[in-house]
This record gives sequence, C-alpha cells and structure tokens, in this order.
Amino acid sequence: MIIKSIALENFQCYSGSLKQNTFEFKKGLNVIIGDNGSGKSKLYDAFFWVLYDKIFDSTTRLLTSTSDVGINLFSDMAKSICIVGEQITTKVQLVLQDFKLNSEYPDEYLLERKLTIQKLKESKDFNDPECWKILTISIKSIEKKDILNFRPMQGVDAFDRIANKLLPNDMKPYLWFQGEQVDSLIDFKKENSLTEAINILSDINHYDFIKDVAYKVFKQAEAAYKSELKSKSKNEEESNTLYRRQEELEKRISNAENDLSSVEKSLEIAEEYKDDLLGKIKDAQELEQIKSELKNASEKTRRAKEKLELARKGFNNNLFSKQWLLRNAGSYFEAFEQKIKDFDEKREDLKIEHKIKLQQEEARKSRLPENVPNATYLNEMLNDKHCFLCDRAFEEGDHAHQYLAEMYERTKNTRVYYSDFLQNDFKKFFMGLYHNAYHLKTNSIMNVDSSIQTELIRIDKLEEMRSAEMREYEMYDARLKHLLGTSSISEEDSKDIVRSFRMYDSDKDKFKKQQFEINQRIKTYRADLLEVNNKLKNIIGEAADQEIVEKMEVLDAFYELARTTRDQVYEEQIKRIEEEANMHFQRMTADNRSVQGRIILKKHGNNYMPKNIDNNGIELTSINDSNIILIKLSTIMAIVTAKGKSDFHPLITDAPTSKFSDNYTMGFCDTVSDVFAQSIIISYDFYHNIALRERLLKEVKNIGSIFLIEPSIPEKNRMNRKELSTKITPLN
Amino acid sequence: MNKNEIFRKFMQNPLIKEKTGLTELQLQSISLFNDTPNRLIDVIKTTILNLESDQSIDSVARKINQSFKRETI
Repeated sequence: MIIKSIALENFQCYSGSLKQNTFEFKKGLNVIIGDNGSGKSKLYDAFFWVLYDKIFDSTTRLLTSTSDVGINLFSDMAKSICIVGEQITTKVQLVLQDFKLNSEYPDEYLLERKLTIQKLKESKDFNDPECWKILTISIKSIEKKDILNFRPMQGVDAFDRIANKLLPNDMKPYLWFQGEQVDSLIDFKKENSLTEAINILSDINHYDFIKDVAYKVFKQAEAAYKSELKSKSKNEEESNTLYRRQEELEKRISNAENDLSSVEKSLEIAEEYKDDLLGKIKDAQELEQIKSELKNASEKTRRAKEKLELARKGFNNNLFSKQWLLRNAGSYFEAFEQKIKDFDEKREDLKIEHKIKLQQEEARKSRLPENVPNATYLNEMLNDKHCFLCDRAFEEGDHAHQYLAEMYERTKNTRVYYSDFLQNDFKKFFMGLYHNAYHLKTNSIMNVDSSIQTELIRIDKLEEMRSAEMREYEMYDARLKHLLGTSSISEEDSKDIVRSFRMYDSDKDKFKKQQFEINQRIKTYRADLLEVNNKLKNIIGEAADQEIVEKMEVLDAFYELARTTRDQVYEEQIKRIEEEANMHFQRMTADNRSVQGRIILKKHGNNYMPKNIDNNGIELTSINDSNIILIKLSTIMAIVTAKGKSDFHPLITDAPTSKFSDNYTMGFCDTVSDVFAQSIIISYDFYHNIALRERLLKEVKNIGSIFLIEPSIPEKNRMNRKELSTKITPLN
Repeated sequence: MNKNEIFRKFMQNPLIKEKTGLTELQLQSISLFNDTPNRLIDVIKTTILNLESDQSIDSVARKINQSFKRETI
C-alpha cells in the first residue's frame, strides 16, 4: 500500500482549502524540500494526526492528543478572519493505493480526520482558548474499488485497519521516524535489538510459530505414547522402576543441556569479547611492550645519570682522596730534598767544627791527651793527696789539689754532646717531613696525571652511556607517541585490553573443556535412556497401539524438521541481510571515500549485532557517528528488502539525514528510492544546496514527486501570523 | 514470504528425505495444495495452511490432532 496524496485544510501553517494544500505522491522517492520554519515538521505532524489522532510535541518530545492541542491545530489565518458564532474546520485527507497482483487498477482508500471549532467571543488574541469551543472530532474512511464502486467504511476499526495496513504497528518504528530517532532504531547496547527488528520485519515469526506448534503436538503425542506403554506393561513393578529411571535420566539430560547452554553462552561471550579485542590486541600488546621498554630505558637512564653525577662529584673529592692536589708538587719535593741535603751537610759541618773546637779547648786546658790521666787515677791521687805523675804530695785546698779536682770533675763531662752544637736541632722533624713527602712522591704525585686521565675517561664513558640510554628512551617515547597517535586505544586502556584478552582466552579454553565434559555426560545419559526405553518396549505384554506409535514418530520428525528448517531459514536470512546491508552501505557511502570496511552480523548468544570490519575481519572501532547510523540504516533496509517488495509499505521520514553529513545524502536517497516501493522524505538538505537538488532530480533512479514548500512570511518576521500560509511548488 | 515459499523451505530441508523416505524428485513434485500420501508432509501442510494472524498455537495443534483422528477413522 502506498500514499497517493495528502491534503491539508487550515492545518497549522497550511492555511486554506484542501485543494490549495495538496501533495500528490508517486512510487519511488518523493521529497518535500523546505527551509527551517517552512512547515516541514507540520506536514510530518499532519501524516501522524490523520492516521493516529496524535500530534508530536517537539518541546516535550511526547505525542499529544488532539484535545490537548486544541485550537493550536488550526491555521492562524483561519482563526484571525473567523467572526463570532462562525465555525472553522481543519482536516487532513490521505488517499492510499493498494496494488493487487492481478488487477490493473489499485484499490483506493480515503482516510480523513476533521476537527471543528466555533468562535465564542472576540479577543485581542485570537489564540485565546477562552474564545473558542471544540465542536467535533471526526474521521471518515472510504473504500474505492474503481471509478463507480466506492463505499464508506463504518467505524473506528475500519479506519484503524486501513492505517495498520499502510503502516503495521510493529513495523512502524522502522518505517516512520525523524532523523534524530534513527540512532535508537537498533540500539547497539541492547543485544536483542537487531533480533527484534528481524523478527518484526522478516517472516521468521512464521517459522517460530510452526516450531511452537510442532513442539506442542509432539509433547502431546509423546505423553500418549508413554501412557500406552505403561498400560500394556506385563511387569508393573519393573515397569515403574524403569519409568522412574527414565524420568531421572530425562531430568539429568535436561539439566546437563541447561548447563551446556549456559557454558556455550559463556563460551560465545568469551569468544565474542576476545574477537572484539582482536582489532585492538596488536596495538595494545605493542603499546605494553613499548611501555615496558620505556620503563626499563627510563630506569637505565636514571642509573646512568646517578653514576655520572657520582663520578663528577667524586672527581672533586679525588683532590684529597687521591692526592690530586699534589699534582706538580714534585719540584717542591725536589727543592725540599735539596734543602734537607744542604741542611744536613751544614749541620754535619757545624757538628765537626764544634767538636774540633771542643777538643782544641780541652787540649788547651790540659795539655795532656784527652782522658789522661783517667778518672780512676785522678780519684786515687786526690784521695792519696799525691800526684803519681810528678810524685809530689799536696794538700787539700792548695793549687795542685784544686787542679786535680778540676781535672777529675772534667772527666765526668768528657763526652761530646751534639745537641750542644745547635740550639734547636730540626733534623728529626725535617727527616720526618722528607720521608712522608718521599712516600707521596713515589706513590701518588707521580701517578696523579694518569689517575686524572683514567677518571676523565671513565666520566666520558659514563656520559656516553647516559646519552645512549637517553637516546633509547627517546626512541621508545617517540614510538609510543606515534602508536598512540595512530591507534584508537589509549595508553591507559592497553593494559586492560591485554589483561582482558588473556583472561577471555583462558576462559575460552576453560569453557571448551567444560563443553566437552558436559557433552560426554549427555552422551552417556542418552545411551542409558535408550537402553531404558528399549527395556520398556520389551516388557509390554501386547503390541502398543500402532496409531499412537506412528503419530509419536511422525510428530517427533515434525518437531525436528520445524526446528532445523527454522534455523536454516534464519541463517539464510541473516546471510541475505548481511549481503544486502553491505550493498546498501556501499551505495549510501559511494560519495564518501573515507568510509571503509563492511558490515557483518555477528552472532552473540542467540542474537546478532551489526559490526563494521576491515578486510582482515578485524572490527573497526574508530568509526564515526555518521557511519554508525548508516550501518543501522543499511541493516534496517536490508531487513525490509529481505522481506521483499510484495508486502510494501511506505517510508515516511522527517530530516532522515540530519545526523550525517551532506556527502551521504545522495547515497541515502538513491538507496531509499530502490529499497522502498515508496518513500516520502521531508528534508532541509536540498533547500540551500542547489547543486545537490539538481543531482537529486537527475541522478536518483526511482524518483517520485519533488515539492518545494515556502512560507508566505519568513520565519524571522512572524510577529503577525494572520497572513501565514504555505506555498507548495512541484519541482518535477 | 508466502505459504508456498515456507512449504518449499520445509521440502528443501535435507532431513525431509530421511524422515519421509521420498526421493528428491518426489519431494519437488509435492505441492502445498495437492493431496500427499505422507503423514509428516500432511502435518506440515496443515500447519502452514493455518498460518493466519488470528490462529493460536493451541487451535493449530488441535487441527493436527484431529487430522490424525480422521485418518484413523
């Protein structure tokens, strides 16, 4: 069913009669072009109002009933010229065409909604609700089979049935939307969002219905079969035991199947999450590797810097610790050595000189050789008071006695003390200095230059090492920055990604193992159950009713066929939707070379979700909002086309391209014109962009009617709305 | 997808040959609206022919069960 025309009378900014405000549509793409404030959204409202008796309130984003909108539904021009007591009417008329397969002429239906009000009193403000009274809200539906054959259809039900035939309730969200709603048509956060759309827009619900019927009749037949076996058993006790065992095994199988389903779901999730990370893991691992290398390089740089600083500080300390301070002090040592030598020589001279002087003095005093006579003889002579040399006696106190006593006393001081020859002898002190200096000269001073050289070389090496570490650090830092610039993942995320990837990988292995174990368990239970069933068959006394047996077998096969056919059809459907979604996606993005990748419908549990992947099957995570919306639109169009055009319904949309940029508009229009038997697009895009409007008229294959709508008063001069009407100009 | 197309999908299921014992040629010649000497295919037909928006699972199940009774009589 398609829309042949819509006509509006005194509906909001569409002042005047139905004839003045009629849009005739055709099959293919119909476009209503208008500037902001020209009445585009009011037209969209008119479609909704005539079909559903509701108006979309753009302020509250809610649908409002006719009685709440009241007089605001009427054109200001009509209200302003209405005099007290007069009535005015607003109405919207929709003419629909239903094309039959074997008929040249389509059936036509007219749907009309009308609201009448009466002016009660004058007021300065003609929009004062107190001045008006709502009289009637009415609908009219007429069925017209051909020129001569038409009949009014009675009641709201008939009206709603036609409306529902045009836009079935479950499909309405996908056939009737505003640009800003596109994003919510398939919610990527809701797992079953696409599945819901497929179920609504495709025929899979028929197969689900058949499957449900098959399950029901099979279970009934199975119960009858069990009852038959039980009634004909020849050993009731054994039969009861076997039934209990059968029940127990069936319960175990059911539990194990539930476990299996849960494990398989977990496995799918782990695989899904792991696959989701596949596109990021390479970058994340590289990031982590570089981060680790960067950390090592940073640590090495720090250590090299510390060593260098230590060496530089140590260099100054070496002035003392390695006596570098004494560098070039060798000449001073030599000068000192010479001075010591001179000092020693001079000292020896003084000593000899002093000794000679002493000896000369002694010789002068005694004229006898030194220590002659010796002290013993002198002492004896003094005691005997007799000189043995001259053999003369003397008396104590006389001259001879005094002389000998003096000589005796002198014997006590006959040793020459060298200290006597110098008032302060520094020889020992100077020699101490000399020996110290000699040690320094031989062990340190001579090696100072080579020691300094060695240390300087060591510092150079440390500097080189630090530079090398710095260069390595800078290299890893540059690589990290480059990777962060080109990759979609952040420095903070990479660790989580790598960890999660490992975790999901490990989970995957764990669930696979569990899956294998449960399958083995189910296999064993099934074998046991088969054995029990065979035993049950063998203990019946007489043959079971063949009809019951056959019915159970037929319905068992029916259930299996219903299940597998449904799954096969669903898989085919998914594949076809995927192919068609890609076809639409490519067409819609033909004008934009930056768009890459293709759409896949990825299984997630029992649901599917559209994803954008590159040529290597890696999910593209950095796609922009326009692309996401296009993926959703492509998928919805694919579901619609998968259903086939035989059940066609129109697409009615206001500003559908508002969420994506201009270079997608033509692709969108071209695709829509092909996918939907009829589409009615209300758009701003072609208003200012004349080149785009010309392309629309020339390039779109299945073009319908194009209209330009213009207000009689520009939006900025709307103080006086009494003259406001809308001019409709067909452009083709 | 109309009822005939749904029926064909069932006839194209690889399991149908095993379950009915019919050949591919025989299966191809079966139509949704003609009589079939096979109970399983009859059940499939009954279900598909009753695929209407106002039919409940219970009512279609009843019709299938009745078809077995009729055949028994």
